[in-house]
Amino acid sequence: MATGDEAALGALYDRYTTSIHTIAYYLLGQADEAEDAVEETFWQAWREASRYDASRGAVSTWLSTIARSRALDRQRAWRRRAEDPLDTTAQTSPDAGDRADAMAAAPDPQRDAESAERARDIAVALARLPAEQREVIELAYFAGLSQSEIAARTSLPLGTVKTRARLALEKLRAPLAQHRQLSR
Amino acid sequence: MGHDAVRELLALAALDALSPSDRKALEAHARSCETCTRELAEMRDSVASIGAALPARPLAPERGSLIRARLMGRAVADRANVTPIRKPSPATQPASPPLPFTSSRSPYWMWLAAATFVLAAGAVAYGANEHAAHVQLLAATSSYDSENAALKKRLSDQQAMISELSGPGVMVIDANATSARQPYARMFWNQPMNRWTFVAYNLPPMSPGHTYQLWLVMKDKKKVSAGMFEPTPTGSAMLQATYAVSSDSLAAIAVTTEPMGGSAQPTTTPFLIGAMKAE
Repeated sequence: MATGDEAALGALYDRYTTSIHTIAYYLLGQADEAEDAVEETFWQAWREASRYDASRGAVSTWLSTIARSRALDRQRAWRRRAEDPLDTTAQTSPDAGDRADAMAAAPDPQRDAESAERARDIAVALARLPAEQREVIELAYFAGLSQSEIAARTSLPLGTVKTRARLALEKLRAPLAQHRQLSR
Repeated sequence: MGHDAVRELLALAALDALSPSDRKALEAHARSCETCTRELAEMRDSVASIGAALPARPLAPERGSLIRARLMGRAVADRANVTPIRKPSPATQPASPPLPFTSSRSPYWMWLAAATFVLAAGAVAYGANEHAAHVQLLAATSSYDSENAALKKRLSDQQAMISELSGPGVMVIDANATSARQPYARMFWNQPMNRWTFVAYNLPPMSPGHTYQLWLVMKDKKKVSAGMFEPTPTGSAMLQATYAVSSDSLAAIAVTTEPMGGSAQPTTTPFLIGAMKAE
């Protein structure tokens, strides 16, 4: 793909679309937005293919990092619009980084059901983490909050936020390392 | 910032949650610290594993095809811009400087062959240009066709929903609660289409083995089941049904709790009732 081969882009798309869409969907919660994020992800991969360094990580990691960045850009744009009283395009999104706001929005049974289902799925995906670590990861990964925003939201000292994030990722890393050893 | 302090930042860096100043400090340190660079890559793997642990949410096939076609079209156009459509290479251009026409050592057939070669090379180059442009147009056309089809489908779905919920033949029946939690519901009755769309909010959770059941209460006291439903964890519900009822025979709608599987007739006192408004 780095040499400008569209067929390679097609192959990459066919192989990773579902995983990329899954990430975008869980971060954004809206089909249209998730689809746009998918397209932006593969487009960025196409434009920046020459910068991909296989020695620094798998293609799937590279793509999922791009996908999450693009989805978080959209979340942050929602938040900025929501905070700007003069912005008439502001709209509340079910997962615009603050589910509490979404719950206060106009009732929408289908959206509520989907939101609840996503929350359940996320809880299952992070089930191996203790609750206090899971909270930090949820706020950082899914809501895109910065370290200081997480500290403010949880009323925790910044140092505790850092420690919990590190412990959580180390726990998630253990099965990965085990998997790599088994696959050698 | 020291090595230990930077290591403490790696997880938040992998989660893209660092402040700009911390990110700068980490990047400066990581340039000369292999350990931190490696650990950051491992942390990024861990972050990627979160996405991988989520239940798969595949794109709808028609949407996936549409995005793929659009991407391919963009990529073809992008490549054409980055690497301009092939021009005849210098090897296929007339020799430069021009051969001395006056040379008596070049027989006529050699000039003819050279001219034929130049024409053929030009034709090949022209063909390559045309082919690239053709591929580009095909990709763009495919992208527009898919997008057009998807937009038509979405428009059709929305028009169907609008026609079910609006128009002169639609009646709206509000159902109010008597309990403290204040559930409420609204029924959209599209008489010409015999289509019923019921939405409810703040419903209390059902006790195990029970379900909510919606009833159409006729003026002759007959109760017709319009279906059963379960509220979401937030207490919302939506139910759609198709059932023909003449406009002057409906008295009210009601919701009762019934044993799982529903009942032929209501067995409990309705906790939501909405009477038809007099026209």
